[in-house]
Amino acid sequence: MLQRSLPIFLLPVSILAQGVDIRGTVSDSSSGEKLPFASVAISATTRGASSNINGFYLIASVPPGVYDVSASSIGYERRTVRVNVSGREPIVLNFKLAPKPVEFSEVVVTDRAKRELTEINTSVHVLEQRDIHMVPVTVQEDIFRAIQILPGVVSTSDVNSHFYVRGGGGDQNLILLDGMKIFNPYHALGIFSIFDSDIIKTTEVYTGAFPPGYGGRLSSVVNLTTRDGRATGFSGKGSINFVSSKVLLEGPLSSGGRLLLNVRKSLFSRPLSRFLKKDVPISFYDVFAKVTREAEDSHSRYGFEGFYSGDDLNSEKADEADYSWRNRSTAFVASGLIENRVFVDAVGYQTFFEARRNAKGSGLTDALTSVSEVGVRANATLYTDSRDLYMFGFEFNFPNLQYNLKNNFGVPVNHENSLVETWAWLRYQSTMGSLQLDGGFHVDVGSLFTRPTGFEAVQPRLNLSYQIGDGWRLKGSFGRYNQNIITVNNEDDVISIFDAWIQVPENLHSEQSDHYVAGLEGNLIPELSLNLQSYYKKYGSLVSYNRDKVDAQDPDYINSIGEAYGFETLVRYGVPFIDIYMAYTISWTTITASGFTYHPKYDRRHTLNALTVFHLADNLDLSLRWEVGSGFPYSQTVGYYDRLTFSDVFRNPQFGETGNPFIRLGTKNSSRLPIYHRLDASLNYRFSLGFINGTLGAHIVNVYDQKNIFYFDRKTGQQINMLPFFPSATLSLEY
Amino acid sequence: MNRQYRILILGVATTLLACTESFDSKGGHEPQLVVYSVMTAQTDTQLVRVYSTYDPPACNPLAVVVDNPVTDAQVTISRGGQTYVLRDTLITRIDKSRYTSDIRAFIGNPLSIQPGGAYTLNINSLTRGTITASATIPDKALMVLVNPFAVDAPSLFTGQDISLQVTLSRHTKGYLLRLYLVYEYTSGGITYSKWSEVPSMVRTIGSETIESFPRLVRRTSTSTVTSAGRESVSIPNQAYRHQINKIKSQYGGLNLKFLSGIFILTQVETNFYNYYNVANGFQDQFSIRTDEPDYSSIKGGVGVFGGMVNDTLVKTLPAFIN
Repeated sequence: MLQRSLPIFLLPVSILAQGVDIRGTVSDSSSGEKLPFASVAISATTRGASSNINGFYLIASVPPGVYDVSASSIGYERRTVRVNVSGREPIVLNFKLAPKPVEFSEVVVTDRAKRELTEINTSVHVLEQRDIHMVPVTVQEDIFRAIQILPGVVSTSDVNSHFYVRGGGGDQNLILLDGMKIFNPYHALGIFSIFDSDIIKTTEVYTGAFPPGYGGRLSSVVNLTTRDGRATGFSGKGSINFVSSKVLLEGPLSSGGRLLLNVRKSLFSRPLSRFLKKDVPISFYDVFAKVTREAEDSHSRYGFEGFYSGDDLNSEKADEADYSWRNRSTAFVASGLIENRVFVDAVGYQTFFEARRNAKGSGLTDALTSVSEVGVRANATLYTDSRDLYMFGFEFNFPNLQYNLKNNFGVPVNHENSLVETWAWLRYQSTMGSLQLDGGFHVDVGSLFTRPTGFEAVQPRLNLSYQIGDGWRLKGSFGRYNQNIITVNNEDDVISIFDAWIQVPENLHSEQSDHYVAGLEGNLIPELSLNLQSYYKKYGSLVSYNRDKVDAQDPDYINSIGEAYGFETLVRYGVPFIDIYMAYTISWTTITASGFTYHPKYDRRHTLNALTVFHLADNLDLSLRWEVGSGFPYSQTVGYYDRLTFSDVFRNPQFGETGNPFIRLGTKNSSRLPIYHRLDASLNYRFSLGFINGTLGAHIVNVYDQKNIFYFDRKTGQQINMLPFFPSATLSLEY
Repeated sequence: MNRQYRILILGVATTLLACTESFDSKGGHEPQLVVYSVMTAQTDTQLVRVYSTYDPPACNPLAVVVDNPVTDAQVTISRGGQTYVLRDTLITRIDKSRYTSDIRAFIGNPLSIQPGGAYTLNINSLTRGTITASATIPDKALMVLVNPFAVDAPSLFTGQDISLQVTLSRHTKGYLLRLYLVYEYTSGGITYSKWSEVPSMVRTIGSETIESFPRLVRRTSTSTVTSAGRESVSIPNQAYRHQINKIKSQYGGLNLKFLSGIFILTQVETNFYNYYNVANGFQDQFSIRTDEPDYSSIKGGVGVFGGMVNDTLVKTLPAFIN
């Protein structure tokens, strides 16, 4: 107990050692890929550990003796090694697990180590490649589409993978790719994310009350970890679908490192345009390259990686604007064990995002937004004799944000912010009998000194989990969060495809929210699990339009407040023939600005996601996904009038102006769009031709051709529906 | 197919049918009165335009090519116990590309507006209902030219902008100060008299000279019933000299004579100040907002009922300004 309460990370670790440490890595025996969330356990004891995101594990201070140590991970053969623990030197056990067919697939977490992660945190979901494969494909497989089936996650349209988490705005999601911040992770109006699912090893999604190591966003974290590529033998994969094709190459380098290279490029926009019944002249690409070197003995690895993506939306019509988006990110990543018990992850990165709008004759104005950020992030994990974990780290970011536009007054505005974001955190994990604790502080050092009061800068985070019965856990979480950079768009637009990043104006509080989450989870029967969660989110400050602005002396934006609350139910059922996943969320979100309270346009009352996977044969799966969502808020048009501007009234006071047609809206967002529902189906057949493994997929989006509203153009009254009945096929070949 | 499956399929089909809702982006148009009236103390004629909101076919307002004035309304403007009933009139429409007819409006003539007066507009339409709106016209202002020498000899005082102290009405939310140069020149034996406004700023970008003219600004001082709100207003020396040189370069060889400088101060009350700014991009050159906000001072309707008042200060100028 004394060790628990002392800040023991300040003491030399060797003094505390009471036994011998067993440590090492867990990896895939065929590819060499490190396996996160694998379980390593010492038989006949309660001792064990989970591998971290780098595949590293450490079981501290194992008393002398002979033990069977086994490692397991879902989809791999269990491996057991007998170890004679003696002396004082740490024992290194690197497990290489052989892949095996998954006996019955899962959509989400059932693996023990993944469960350990979720056992403490209330709102985390870990998705691996096989989870993503289960979700029926919308033209092509996509990570963000898979995220949208999670409880608490809402998407406002079929053709947009922007997502909103537990009443949070679309800019309140922190997207990390190996630690690099990605500011616009979407392709082609958001139809797909820019991340090819084949390069992603693990996706951690925190939908609330996320731990102290993350900051700078109010609502959620999507932490993507990429694969390193094969350590043995070169491998390639090519695939094609109705919209794009891609090539993936991976393998060892002569210098001892590993290479992973993935290139994806759009091929056709016609199929999509044809089915959308609207010209969608999309063109996109993304390239990911990663070189990694590792040293097994010291469990260290380092590497360089680069990610590039681009999108062009060029309309042939003179009255439609053209758009382009670019992402460029590069990073140096390193991790390793220092001082026997301290494992360090670090990343230094540079990321750049730019979006341009060429207004042409659309009536909009030309605009450019860009974010250029250099940052460094480091996190250390200290393993202790008491099995408690201490984590501490820091992050420095130097974002430069630019927003150029011609404003409503007709004046070109070059809006530029450069800021320094400095964060530090401390995290502590412990198990005390049936109670597990994961808590700490995240401190936004910059806001502490630069914001009006800085109250949002010190952010306590706490997750508690208490075992109340056989396999049942009661959980509670709290966290405080703030956000200094936000996107701005026209709040009155029905959809927005041009979001500009700016710093929260300096005279305003940064955006701030408190999360409160309570949950209960367990298994009703071994095959049926239930996860119930309720959340309450209090927005102490948000940034909203100043609706009382009348002139240049009034600020464009003011601080508003808000709240979001809801209840989530997640049911999973799995037997060899069938997997069922069902998530239902009921939620409310309101924002109050200048005394007026309204529902933001992403506030959805009911969301149901039902996913069923039939394992028809060893190599044949049928997936069905049905999504139902109640309507989103919108403001009705209640009339038109001709608005006079009196623009020259002081010099030429005549009264003969006709005025311009102006749409008069009803109470903001007081009406609701119709209910949304859609059934998707995917049939995937896996085959082998000699050394080539392939997957042939047939997919149908919107099986019963429901006319879900995407948006309507107030100026023309035209209603654009979301994806109609849309069959597609994919072919992937891998050697 | 066994019974359970049939019940399941029936249930799903019923659910899907129940889930289909109709949608109309319009909220059911209920016509509202649209009113524009900016009273001014400069004339004894006041105009009120009264319209109705409309519901165009296919959400295309430009498809509506016939104006929709409200003609069955009784329009009155009252102050204290006095009520003035306005009558129908026609105003010449400047741009007839959409509506070919002239503008039907209501006119009060003679109807002199008193500075400092509180006025109420009442419109009672049989078909569109009743609205009321009120506005208080600013009182007359006091203007004092602080440095007249800077007007007479700007080249000798290049470091001094033309400075005025103005005392604003407590009913004023914004104001606009303009300076006009009055001069005459002779051409072909005929003497011409002209006015020319002095810009508030002159910038040169490349070979292009850009002139900006004074805009409506919000007052920074406060005034109450007992204390006046004073503001310092200036016209840049550089812009003043630019205008003089421009006139000289145009008419310098034509027996040019400067006659006077006329300062015109326009005070605007709150309703019109707010409406004017909102309808003109907030008059904010740094705004990054892209929405189109609405503003109305008409209870139960749309538009503005406001007022303004002008004050003038005349400064005699030397015939030749250096």
